[in-house]
Amino acid sequence: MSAAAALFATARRADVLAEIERESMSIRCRQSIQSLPSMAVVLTITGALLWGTVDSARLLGWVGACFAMTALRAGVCALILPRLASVSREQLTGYERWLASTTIANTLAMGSGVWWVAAIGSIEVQYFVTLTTCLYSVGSLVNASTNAPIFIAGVAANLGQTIAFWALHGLDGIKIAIPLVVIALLLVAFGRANARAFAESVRMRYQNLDLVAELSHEKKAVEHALSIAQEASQSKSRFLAAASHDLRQPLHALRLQVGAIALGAQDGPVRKSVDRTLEMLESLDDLFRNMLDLSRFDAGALKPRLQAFAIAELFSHLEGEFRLLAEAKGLRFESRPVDARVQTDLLLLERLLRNLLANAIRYTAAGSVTLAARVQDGSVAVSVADTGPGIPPEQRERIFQEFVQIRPGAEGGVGLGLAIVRRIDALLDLGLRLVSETGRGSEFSVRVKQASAA
Amino acid sequence: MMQAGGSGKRQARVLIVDDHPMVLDAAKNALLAAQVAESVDCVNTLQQARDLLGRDSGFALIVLDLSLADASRLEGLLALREDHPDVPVLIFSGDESPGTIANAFEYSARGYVPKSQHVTVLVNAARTVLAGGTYIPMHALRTLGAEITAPAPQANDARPAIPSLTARQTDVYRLLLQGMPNKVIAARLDMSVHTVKAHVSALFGTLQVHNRAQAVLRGRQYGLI
Repeated sequence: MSAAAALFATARRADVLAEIERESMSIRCRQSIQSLPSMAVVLTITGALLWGTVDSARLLGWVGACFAMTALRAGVCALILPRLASVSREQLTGYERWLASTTIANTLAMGSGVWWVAAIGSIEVQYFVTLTTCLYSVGSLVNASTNAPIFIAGVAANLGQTIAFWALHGLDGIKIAIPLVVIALLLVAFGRANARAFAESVRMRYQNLDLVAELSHEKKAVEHALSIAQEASQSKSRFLAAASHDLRQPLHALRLQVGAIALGAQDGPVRKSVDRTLEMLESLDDLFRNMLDLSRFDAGALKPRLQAFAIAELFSHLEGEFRLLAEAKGLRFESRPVDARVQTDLLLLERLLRNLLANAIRYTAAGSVTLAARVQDGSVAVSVADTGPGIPPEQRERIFQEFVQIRPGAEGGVGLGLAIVRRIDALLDLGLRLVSETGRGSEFSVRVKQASAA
Repeated sequence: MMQAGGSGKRQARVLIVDDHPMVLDAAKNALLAAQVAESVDCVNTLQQARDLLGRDSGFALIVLDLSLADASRLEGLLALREDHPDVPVLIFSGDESPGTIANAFEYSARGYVPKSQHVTVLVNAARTVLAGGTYIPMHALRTLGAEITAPAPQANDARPAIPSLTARQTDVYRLLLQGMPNKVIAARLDMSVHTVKAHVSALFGTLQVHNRAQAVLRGRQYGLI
């Protein structure tokens, strides 16, 4: 990670902490304001229930102080809430101080009830006030639990007073104080866990946002790189197309001129030389044609011409072309057609198979070359297999690239055959597969859609 | 594929239309060396070809490139065929796609030779067309042929029976096999182009073919040419 990135990450972490704070305050403020009416009702009911059992002035004082503190907090919250979204981190800390002090004041007021209301009442009143305090801690103070320190301080201020009150009341009081301590501890544990979960959820939200931002940034970078690569590839294709087309015209003219000489030449060494020249020009033209076609495949300029035809007819045509070539090298040529009609581009499939057969014969020193077809789940699998040297696994991707030959020096070929095979496979969606075992041979296979019965 | 037929002029005058001077010159030399032609005239544009054909009616064959500066692909072919129906056109083009080849026959070409072919292919195709035949390149023949199902052969007879055609359809088919465009067929048979089109489409239905090139293949299967 670079220094700038590290700095950025630190800033980001601080941002996230501030956002957790902001989010927590926003929740607490909203709940404080919303709970004001219900607190009023609860305090009124408490006052009514205790009315007549204790000194009215003290009761009114306590209930009034509780309500005043609750109202004060709600007021502070109402002031903070609309400013929350736009304030700086420093101002946020100031707001937090306000919110914390009013919350503590609130809990202190609530918890003080045992001292000056319950203390003078009967044991029932004491229980009742203690219960009210507990309920307040569990029910209302929980609102503050997204901020652990304030929550814990609140619990301490509220329940702490009640616990101290009972602890000072002898053995029976301690019996009450102990479960109160347990409740306080449970609340503290709960508050911390809740605050952690809350912080975690905010952090995750920011991580997700970060991730989204990062991904969209990376996506843009990838798209940019892709468009550059595509542009480069297209300009290569344009160059090849232009070069091949312009070079082919003089080449065609050259072949015709040399052909004209051949037509008039007597049998003999000159005629032989002219014929060899013609053959070489033909190979050269083939090379240009393949280069031109590669660029046309890449430019999407070649449209398949789908038609239904019998696979056996194609096989007999290919056999006529390749049997002699194979046998001239001492290889067996086997053709195993199937009685089925397929639906695809005849010439492109033929070209694909022709390139595979030419390679198979070129690279196989002994054994056989097999052209086979079989019907398989509504399609026809056509394969070209040889008993050649095989293709090592690490080369299996590379061989489909232009001008790549893993065994250079073999007679003929410049490494365009499989590049064209791959493009035809992509264009006709033939699912080309290669199975090869080093030293045993290779099998290329494609799947062709079976034609519906004519 | 070559079909001999009729009586060709052995020493004919040929017009080559191609916008590549090098190709023009080379094709001329090849046709002369093979003694296909007595003389060869060369022009670069469709307009020059039309001017020359308008002045001089002595040409026996036009060898035409499809990519000319002043003609959009097959339009030049159709114009020449309609204005000079008795001079057959052999297309000599760098475009080898079966679709283009089928279209050329749709526009009444009498032959098609891809420029990548060996010189003897051009020479033999020119001879075939001069002799009244039709030349369709092997690879195009295969894709076109694969689309039409072979007619059921007759017992004890190598040739399948010709489906029954009306007298008018037979006339249209005969001229179509000679490579005449619809407009010329209409003029020769004294009917409207619209009527010729109707006859041609009915003919295709009876022959179970999709285009003129396949109709020519059918004609060969029936031994009509």
